[in-house]
Amino acid sequence: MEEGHVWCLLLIVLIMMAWSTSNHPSTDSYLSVADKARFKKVIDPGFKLDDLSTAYYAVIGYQLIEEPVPKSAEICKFVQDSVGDGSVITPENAFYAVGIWKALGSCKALPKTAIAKVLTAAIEKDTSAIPDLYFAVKALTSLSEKLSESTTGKLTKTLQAALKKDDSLLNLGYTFNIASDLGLAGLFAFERVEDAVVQADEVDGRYLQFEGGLSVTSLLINGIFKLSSSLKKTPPVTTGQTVKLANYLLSRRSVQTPKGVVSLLSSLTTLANNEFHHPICITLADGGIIVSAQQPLIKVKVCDILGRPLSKTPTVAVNTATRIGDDAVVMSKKNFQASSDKTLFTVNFMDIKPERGFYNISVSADSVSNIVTVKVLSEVIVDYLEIGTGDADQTTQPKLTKVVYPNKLGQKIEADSQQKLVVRFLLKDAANKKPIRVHQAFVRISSVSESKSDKHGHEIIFVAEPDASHVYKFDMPLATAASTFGYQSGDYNLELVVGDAVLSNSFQWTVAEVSLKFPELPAPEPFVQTGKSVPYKQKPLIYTPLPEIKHMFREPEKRPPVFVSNLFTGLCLLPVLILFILWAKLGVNISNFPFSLSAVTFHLGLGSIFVLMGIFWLQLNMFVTLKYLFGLSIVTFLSGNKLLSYIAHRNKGR
Amino acid sequence: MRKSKREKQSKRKYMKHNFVRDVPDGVRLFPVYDRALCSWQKYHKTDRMYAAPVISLFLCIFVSVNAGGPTLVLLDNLAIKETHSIFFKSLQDRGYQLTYKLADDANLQLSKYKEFLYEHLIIFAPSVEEFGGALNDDTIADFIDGGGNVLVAGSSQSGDALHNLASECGFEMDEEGATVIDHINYDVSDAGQHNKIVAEPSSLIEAPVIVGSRDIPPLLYQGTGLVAKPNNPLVLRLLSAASSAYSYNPDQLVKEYPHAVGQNTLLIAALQARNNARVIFSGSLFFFSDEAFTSPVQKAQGDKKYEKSGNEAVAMAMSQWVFKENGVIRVAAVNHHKVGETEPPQSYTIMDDVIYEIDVQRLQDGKWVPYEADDLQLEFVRIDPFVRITMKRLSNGRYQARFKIPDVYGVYQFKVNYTRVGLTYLYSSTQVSVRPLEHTQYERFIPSAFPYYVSAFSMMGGVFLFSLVFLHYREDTKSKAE
Repeated sequence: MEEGHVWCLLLIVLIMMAWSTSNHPSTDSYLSVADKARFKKVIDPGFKLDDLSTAYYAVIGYQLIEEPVPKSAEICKFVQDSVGDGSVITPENAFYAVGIWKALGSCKALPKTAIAKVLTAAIEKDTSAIPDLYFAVKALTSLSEKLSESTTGKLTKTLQAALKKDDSLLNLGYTFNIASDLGLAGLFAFERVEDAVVQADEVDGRYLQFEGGLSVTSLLINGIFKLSSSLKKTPPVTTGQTVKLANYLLSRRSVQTPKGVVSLLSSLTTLANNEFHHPICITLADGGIIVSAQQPLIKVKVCDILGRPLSKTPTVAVNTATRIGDDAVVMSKKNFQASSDKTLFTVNFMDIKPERGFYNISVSADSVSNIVTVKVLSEVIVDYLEIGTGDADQTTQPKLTKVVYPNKLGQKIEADSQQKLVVRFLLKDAANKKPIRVHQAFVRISSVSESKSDKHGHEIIFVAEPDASHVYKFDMPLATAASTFGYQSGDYNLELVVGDAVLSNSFQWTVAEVSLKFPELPAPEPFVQTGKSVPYKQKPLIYTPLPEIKHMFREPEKRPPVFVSNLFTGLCLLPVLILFILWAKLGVNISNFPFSLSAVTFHLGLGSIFVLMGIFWLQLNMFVTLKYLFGLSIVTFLSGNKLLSYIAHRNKGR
Repeated sequence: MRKSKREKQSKRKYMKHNFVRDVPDGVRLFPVYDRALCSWQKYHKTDRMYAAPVISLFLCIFVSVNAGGPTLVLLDNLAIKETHSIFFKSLQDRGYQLTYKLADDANLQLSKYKEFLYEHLIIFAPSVEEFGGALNDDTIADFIDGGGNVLVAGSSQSGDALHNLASECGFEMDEEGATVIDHINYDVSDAGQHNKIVAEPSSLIEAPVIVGSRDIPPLLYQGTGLVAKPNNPLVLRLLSAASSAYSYNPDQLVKEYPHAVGQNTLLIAALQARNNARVIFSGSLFFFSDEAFTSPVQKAQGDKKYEKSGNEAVAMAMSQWVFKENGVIRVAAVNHHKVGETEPPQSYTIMDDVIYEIDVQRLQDGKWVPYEADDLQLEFVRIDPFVRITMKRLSNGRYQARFKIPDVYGVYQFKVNYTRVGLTYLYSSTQVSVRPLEHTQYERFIPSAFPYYVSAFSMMGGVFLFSLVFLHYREDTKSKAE
């Protein structure tokens, strides 16, 4: 009974241990050399020494990536100039100046006492904002000035009062950092750490961040871990959370501001160097996801998040390797071999002759584990490919010609609208000569003339369908495919595109040139009133200049030759001439002309009406003409009346 | 009197157009691009009445001039703000006031009291299933109808909200999980599925105003494929994939015909609505990320390595275009008159020689500068164009056309309708009347008509003389009788 209990307990303990030893996750990445080089580029402008803060970020950044700081003498001078005699300096600038001064270590002494006085005054003031307190305390610590008992007490009170008013994450972060410099007096802040940690947001289940992004997250990480180590208490952060925080920081490697770079580097360094949790990175070396016959090794890099080897070389092992898709376990409990590089471990995966595909490999390094994905590649070969034409109605066997990869068929294949184009091919794995199915087996048909002019022209892509024995088939009856090709008969290139993520030699192969003859474009159906509203079709926009239009002016009518016109003019004048001749023969006279006013006016009036008609023809418009005509005709009418009545009277009298 | 009436009429028309904006939102039946097609008229502005005694209708398309402006940025999570910091920073440097919000924020709104709060909208939230607050695809469509510009980026995990928005704009996005795969043109840093593809700059649209120079390193792309709906004529294919690409779920065998295949696969598409609102739809959020901007590019099957991808250059150019910093033109002035005169006549006569001049300006860095091109065309339209000529470029963005008015009278319009890829639509129409010849303006002394002239005048002369003779003839009867 007693013994049974013991065994039971032991078993539980063992299970717990096994669980705890193998279940710590690791990060997927680390700070690589390339990242550091990029960081340098971001912070380099700080060495132009335009202002204290960027200079500070540059110097601290270089220090964190363990690079020597260039032109330190100039920077020293710049710092000294900015500090002056130290009596008029804001806590923030003091923080930057002292930070640079301490990081360089080789500068002349700063006016310590003056700066310390200013800073202490700032700390003792009740109204100082928390960031100012942070800068002041950090600067004083960098100057190795001790805070007096009373100042510390006052500072704690100010902080607590400020936190009561506003306990945002930013303020908490500053407080933790300040408290970490106060020794045991910082205990008040430690109680708040848990508050802060629960406020962290998880993203995708992989990252843990604090609201406000990189700078806030970094400030809090630094604060929490520094405070914990100064108080020698384990922070209320689990290993899992630490790893997620590290994941977040590492995901922000593309940061583009000097401040961000320093935040990122300092918090990563804090995480890597603290005495509580060390996130470890297990990942594939150099993105070496590919395993193939030529490259059979899986290379794994095990290091801390800064890319440094672990203090104690771990035993790295494959827990299990499973194939994605059918979850078959292909390998388990196999150790990696260590290499000369202390962070690189290799195992030969092709020993077990895995099939092509993706594999999840669970890798453990002592107490941490991670899952990496590799893919095993194989080479594809075209076993055979036949191309030809057959009758669309399947009455006869299609005539097929073999084409050998990667050649192009010598002759042109011709197909008309009664036929179908047929392609059959079989793909095999080069290693084990088994027929395979691939993800992409497309037949691309593109116009020859367009591909020559190197334009992205018309292309039509078909999916080749495999049958049960993995023979790919492509049948295209021309009559039904005609509309896809827009009834454009002509020469086309037929290409085969074969690709798969697990093939090492995906290819695009021009198989043959085919001459396709489509049926004529059917005449557009006559418009039938069906009662259904025809959807309005948008005209495509035209983005090119349109053809110019020139107006065709009406051609002047053809005219007869001038001679003919003149002849007829003469003929028209004949009657007048005849009149004159006959009158002359008759001996015409106007002897009865009464020299009265009415007679003269009448004839002048009649004459001027005719002249007015002539002028109207030449230049006047109708309204003007009518106006004149009105006057003239009244005068002519009255005088004509008088004249005629006179003549009538005279004749009667005779 | 007549003229002032007409002016009043057209003013009333303009006011009516303004009222159209306030049509209640319920009466929306067509998808947005259809609405946008019809809606340019709503925004045209009778810029000024031409101070001439002819009916002169002068339309100028209304465009906002200021670069920058309030911009709403919708994100899946706030980490995107940091992973895409280069892109956002460049926008801020160019004067945009960015307001970052989570896409499912419950207090989202685009307009207040029918006034839009933002000029531009960026949606970098691929996985959002439903927008928060007052935002949905309908309000975004209204925003576009109201002239707002939208930049959307999806991913292979795009949610329903983006699918709906895409179809409102005339694109189709592939279903969730599908990604553009290219087994031949993929980057060396690809994670195994061959979906971090390398797009050649030569497959960018030939429009420097939208995408900038095509002489840049290749582009990195990871995301889903788009297809343009064939019945939408306004879609611009900014970036299309290579022939060997296709869009499908990499974990499934290709059983159905893929959503998008070959060059038909659109990676980035754009739309310029009839009201000049601009929309860019990218299937890849990764395209705009700091990582894509800064990482090197090398095709897995090629050996040429580029230190930095061309993504940044293209993304910057596209952002300038979509937010109307680029490719905005307008008509500044129009003048037309007969050759040898300077003022527009009351009306033209057929076969007059006429000069038409138009000043076109382009927006550059917030200022209007002369627009220089050689393909501006003028149409002289009476129902159908009678004359279409390419205008001659004078200095300072002034273009001139000289032509002879056709020998058909009627009411005509001088029309300049300039649509080029990436430029705002330029449309100007000026109405004039053309009358036939007056009777004195015909040819007078036609030789073949001389018989008619002569017979008419001889008739008149004859009548004159005959009346004289007939009335006053004295017969010699007396002398005979005597």
